[in-house]
Amino acid sequence: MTSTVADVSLCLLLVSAGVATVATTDRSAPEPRNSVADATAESLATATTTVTYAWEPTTADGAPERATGDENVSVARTAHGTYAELLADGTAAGATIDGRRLSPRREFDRSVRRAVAAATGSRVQVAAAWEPYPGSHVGCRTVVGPSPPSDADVRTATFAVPSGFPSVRGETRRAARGGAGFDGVARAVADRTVAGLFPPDEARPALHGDYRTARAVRERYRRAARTTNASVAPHLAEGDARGANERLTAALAPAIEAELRAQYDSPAAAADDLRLARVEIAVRTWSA
Amino acid sequence: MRLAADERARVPFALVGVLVLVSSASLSASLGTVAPVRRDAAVEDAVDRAEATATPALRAAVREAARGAARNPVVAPADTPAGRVLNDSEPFRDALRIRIYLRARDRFADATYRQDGVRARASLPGIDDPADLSAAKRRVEIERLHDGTAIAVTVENVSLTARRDGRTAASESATLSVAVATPVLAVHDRTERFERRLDRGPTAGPGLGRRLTARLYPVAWARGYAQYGGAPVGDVIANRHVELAANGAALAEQRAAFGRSDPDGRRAFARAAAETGLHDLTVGTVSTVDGRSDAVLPSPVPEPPWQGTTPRYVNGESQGEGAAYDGAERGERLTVGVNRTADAALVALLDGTADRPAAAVRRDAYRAETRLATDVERVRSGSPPPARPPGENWTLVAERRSAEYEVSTPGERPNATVEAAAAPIADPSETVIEATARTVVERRTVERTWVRGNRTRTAERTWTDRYRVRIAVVGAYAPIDAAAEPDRPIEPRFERGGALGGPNLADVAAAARRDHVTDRGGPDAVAERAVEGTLETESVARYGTRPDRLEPWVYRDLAALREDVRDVTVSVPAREAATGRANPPAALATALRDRREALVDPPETYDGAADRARVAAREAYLDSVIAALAARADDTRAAESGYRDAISDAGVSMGDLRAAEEARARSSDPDRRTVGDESGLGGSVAVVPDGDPGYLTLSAVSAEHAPSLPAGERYHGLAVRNRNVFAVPYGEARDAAFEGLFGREETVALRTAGETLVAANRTLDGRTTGEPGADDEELRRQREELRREVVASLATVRRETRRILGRETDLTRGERRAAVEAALARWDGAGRRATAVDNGSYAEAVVREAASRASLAAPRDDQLATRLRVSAARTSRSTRVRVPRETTAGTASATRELTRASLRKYRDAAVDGAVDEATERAAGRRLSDLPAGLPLLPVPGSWYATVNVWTVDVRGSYPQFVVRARTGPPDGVGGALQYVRDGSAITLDVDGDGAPERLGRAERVSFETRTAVAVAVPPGGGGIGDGSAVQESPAWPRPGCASGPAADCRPDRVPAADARADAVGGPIRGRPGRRPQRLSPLADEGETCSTTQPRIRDRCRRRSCDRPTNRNSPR
Repeated sequence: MTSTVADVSLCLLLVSAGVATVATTDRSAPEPRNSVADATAESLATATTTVTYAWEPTTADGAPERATGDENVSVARTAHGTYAELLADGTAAGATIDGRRLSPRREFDRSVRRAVAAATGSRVQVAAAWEPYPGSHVGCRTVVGPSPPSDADVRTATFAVPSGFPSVRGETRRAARGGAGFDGVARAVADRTVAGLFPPDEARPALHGDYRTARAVRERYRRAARTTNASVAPHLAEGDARGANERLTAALAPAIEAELRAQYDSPAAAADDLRLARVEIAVRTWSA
Repeated sequence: MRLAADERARVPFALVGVLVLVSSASLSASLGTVAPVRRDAAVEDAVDRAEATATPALRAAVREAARGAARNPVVAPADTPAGRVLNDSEPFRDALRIRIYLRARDRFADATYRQDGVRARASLPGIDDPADLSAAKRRVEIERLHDGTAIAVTVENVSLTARRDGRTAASESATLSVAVATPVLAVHDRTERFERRLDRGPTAGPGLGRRLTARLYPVAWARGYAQYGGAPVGDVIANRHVELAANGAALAEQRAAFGRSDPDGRRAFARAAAETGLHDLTVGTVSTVDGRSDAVLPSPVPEPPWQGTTPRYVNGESQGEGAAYDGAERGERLTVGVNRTADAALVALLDGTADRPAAAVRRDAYRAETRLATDVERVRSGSPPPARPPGENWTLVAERRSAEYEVSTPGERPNATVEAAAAPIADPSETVIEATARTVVERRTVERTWVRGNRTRTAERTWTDRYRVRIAVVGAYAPIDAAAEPDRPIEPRFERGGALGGPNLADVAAAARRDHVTDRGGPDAVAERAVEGTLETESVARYGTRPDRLEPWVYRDLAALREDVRDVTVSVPAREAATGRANPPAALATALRDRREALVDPPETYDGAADRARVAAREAYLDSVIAALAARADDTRAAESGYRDAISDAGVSMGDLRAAEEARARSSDPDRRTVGDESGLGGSVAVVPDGDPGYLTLSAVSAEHAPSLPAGERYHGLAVRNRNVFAVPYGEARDAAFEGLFGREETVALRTAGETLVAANRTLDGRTTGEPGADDEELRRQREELRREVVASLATVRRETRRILGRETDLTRGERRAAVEAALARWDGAGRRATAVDNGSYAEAVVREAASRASLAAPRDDQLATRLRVSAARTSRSTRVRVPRETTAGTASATRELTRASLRKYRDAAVDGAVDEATERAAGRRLSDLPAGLPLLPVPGSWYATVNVWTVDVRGSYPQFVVRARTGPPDGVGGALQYVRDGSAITLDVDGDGAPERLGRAERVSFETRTAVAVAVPPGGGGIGDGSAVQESPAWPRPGCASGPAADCRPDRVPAADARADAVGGPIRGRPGRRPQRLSPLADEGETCSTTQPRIRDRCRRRSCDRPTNRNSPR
């Protein structure tokens, strides 16, 4: 009798083990996707639109230039691209150093934000951010749409679009592995940042170009120089974009190096985390 | 047996449990096998997402590649492994495709999709050799959209790879297509169009050549007429005008090609136009090539030059660059008169060298034909008796007839009726000079002799006839060549009276009476002979006696007519004369033929033979004038054909000139406009060209004016050669033109020599410059030589004058000599005397001097003057009067040099305002005093225009030419696509080894064109022309870098590869400095250009191509 009891007990034990085996089998089913956020992100990345804005030249002190004579100084311009591209353009063009904008805020930003807001709807927030590495004092952020309420169930989708800045990660990573220090990485970051802010091949003819273009470029250089305590005036006077860039790079590199040292354990880790060439776009959606 | 107790064949529950466990384990295991299926879905999803991510990446890549390709446009591919991959016909597009490929490859690397340990990305293969590069190029297709403001890009065969744990989980290939709003093709295509238009000649179609012509024509005509009018214009077309016109034309071409023109260029043009205008009004002679750039091109200032005030450019955008010349556009016409041909024709008439000499004309007007007209009427007829033999067998052997006449005057009728009765026997046009009637009784006798055998018998019978005979002497007025004259009745005839009250053929009537009647025995005898039938009635031509007063009377009338004819003019468009299409003498001949009736002005009825002689002389004179004009027209044709030959020797055909002139009319200023339209992807785009400098000067510019130039380098943007075909001094071209007229004699007209001599004298006297020190040994020597020649020519003129005086006057030899010398003494110096001989004032003076020494009857003085004038024209063709060209030219050059030098001095002084403007103007005028241009015809009296032709060659090159397309989002550098053509080599690191490969070159925007301008001014004055036959700007024939083609003033850039090494490789590797460049399989082999465009090839050959001034864009 006892053997029967033992038998049944063993049976039950084995059955429960079997159940457990089946129950504990990893089905690894994917989590349900937050479809609204993803869909919004996808359409922002792929759908194109046209934004018209007025390009208003400014005088040296940043005020809008008044019309002289019969010339109309305000020029209507058109930009075409995906929403994400336009957001990225606005973000990269509105770069700040220590929170100070290099170029005056332009109507383009407003137009792009308006276009994105019209395309996304009320319960969506789109944030575009460009920074060479997380927590950099150089960068820019554009936010479209309201912030979600604190108690809302927020879904987020993120993607990246090219910022137009030269990519630096591959080379710095190789260099860091090759033994370069934080200073080298910082210098490379500074160099590419400045090269992205002031593409020398473009800046040089622009400095020699018509006076409005030249003035806008000069003013942008001056603002950057003021913020970083660099001296670019002599280079600007000669239209030497490369020289001005070198000054800015030299002025920017120490601050970047300090930030990198504070954040990362090694130059290689820092090099891995560079994201100069990307504008990260985050789409947050929530339900009421 | 109890079941519970029965333990046989019992399956233990545990066994069931084991079974369940095993089953569940296997189920679990089988459930586990589902996992790979779920993994595949994730990979697929990742691949999808990778493709979705790759599209924006490609868009970004296209934008970046477009900027790079525009910034570094490959216009001429290099003969390197990489360069050879680019198609010769469209290297720019091929380079763009390669850039898109490379940028896309980079961007794909950054656009990796990561999810659940799966990494998915798009990728393109790397490039190691030219074959790879060629394959890469072929994967990328580009298409122009919306007028080039957008581009459709298709990349084929993009690999989409998903990897998990370092292993490839899935891979597929896709074709990606995007349409990106970037006007890269618009700027390139339009720049190429701009270049093509710049290179186009005036006859080839719309372009720079045509616009240049349109701008130079009014300048040349306005300044040519100003020079002709005595304004101090040294060079009708100076190179500064070509500079201005070429720049204005280039700006208009910019608007035609791009829709906008360079704002800096416009401002510089406005300044240059203002400066040139001012300059030309004040000094107008000295080329200001030096210092031009400072005046026109401001140093680059960041602010607009007229910020805050309303810019008012005379020649600004609003009015178009052509506005400066609009006022100068005039339809000039040349008025050409018969002038001295009227004299020549008169002299020809007087001297009998015309078809009909004057004396013959007068004599012929007095010609008449007279004859005797008779009418015999038998009133009564007797019957002749029959020959009746006296008897049988009588034979008539002889019959002799005789008649006796008895003439009587019929008394029964009055004379008047006799004449009336006589009228029918005269022709209606004939005048009956005398008429009478007779009655003739003819008593006739016949004597017959009959024979029979040897018997002879004679019988005589008589009978009588009665006749009435009318006799008239009639005359017909029969001037010779009557057909050409208006047929008018003449009254009176054959009797004294009429104009002049002369014999008026009365003598002819008397002679006719005598000849026809009196000398024949009077009326009775004539009547008898009329009856008899032996009267001769042939008409006889006679010339009446001309009164002495007839010749002067007719001459005075002709002299008046001559003045009328002299004033007959035709007006031909000067442009036609300039292009050898006008033949004014032929037009004059036609005009005279048309007005012949009015000029002859015949009366209703000739007032006698004298009047008829006068009118006949007028006729003959007009014929003579027309014949002379026809000869002049032949000469003109010869001269025009010589003109054509001469300019074709200079490389210009008349067809070119005409085409250029017509092209001028078709050139219009294009409007401002944008590229593309609002419906396109990128909307309409303003494309703004920006030359550096915007205004190409003949003088060199440096970095101060054109910042794109390397410091210390100097660059000539424009090179101009301006050739004046018939310049001062007269050149070979002129000889060629008149070979047909004067033979291959290298001579100039006495006038030319005289004017040159006067100008030389003025210069030597210091009257030109206001300073007597303007002494020049060379000029003095040349002047002396020319003076001797002119004096020798004047000696011939003197001899000829004395000969004419001898013929026309009664002056003694001494008086004649004295008169000639006194006449010449009115002018000071050989030069002025030569001019006076040419313009006819000398002839007047001789007449006056002759008249003061002897009495000259009224028409004789006029005759003398006319002969003298004509003699001047005639002798001017004689080689003894014409002056060697060499001598004249030498003096002219020396004068010009000296005057120019002193003017230059004055101009320099004028900067301080220290020079009296009047002096300066006078000095400038001296230059225009020197005769210039090609006179058509160079014979006094036949000169109807002075023409000149300029050929203008223009070559230009912008050191840097940027085209900005203002579109797209704002960026830090102006928010525009910049297309830069500055001659740099274009390199690109295609294989990713850090060493850039040379693709080609961004050739500078250069051009070359040519045009010709012909101007015709009225005769007289100094004509029209430049002081120097050829004006070449400092840079001719090669615009560009002043330090030579090897340096080429290319922007001095740090090669980008090195810059990258400095920026990244150096410090990171911890070894600063440059690393040596490895030569990749695509490395340069030294650039030799491989292009089919000959112009670029030439330029390449000139350049040492391996200079390390590379530039590349970051990949």
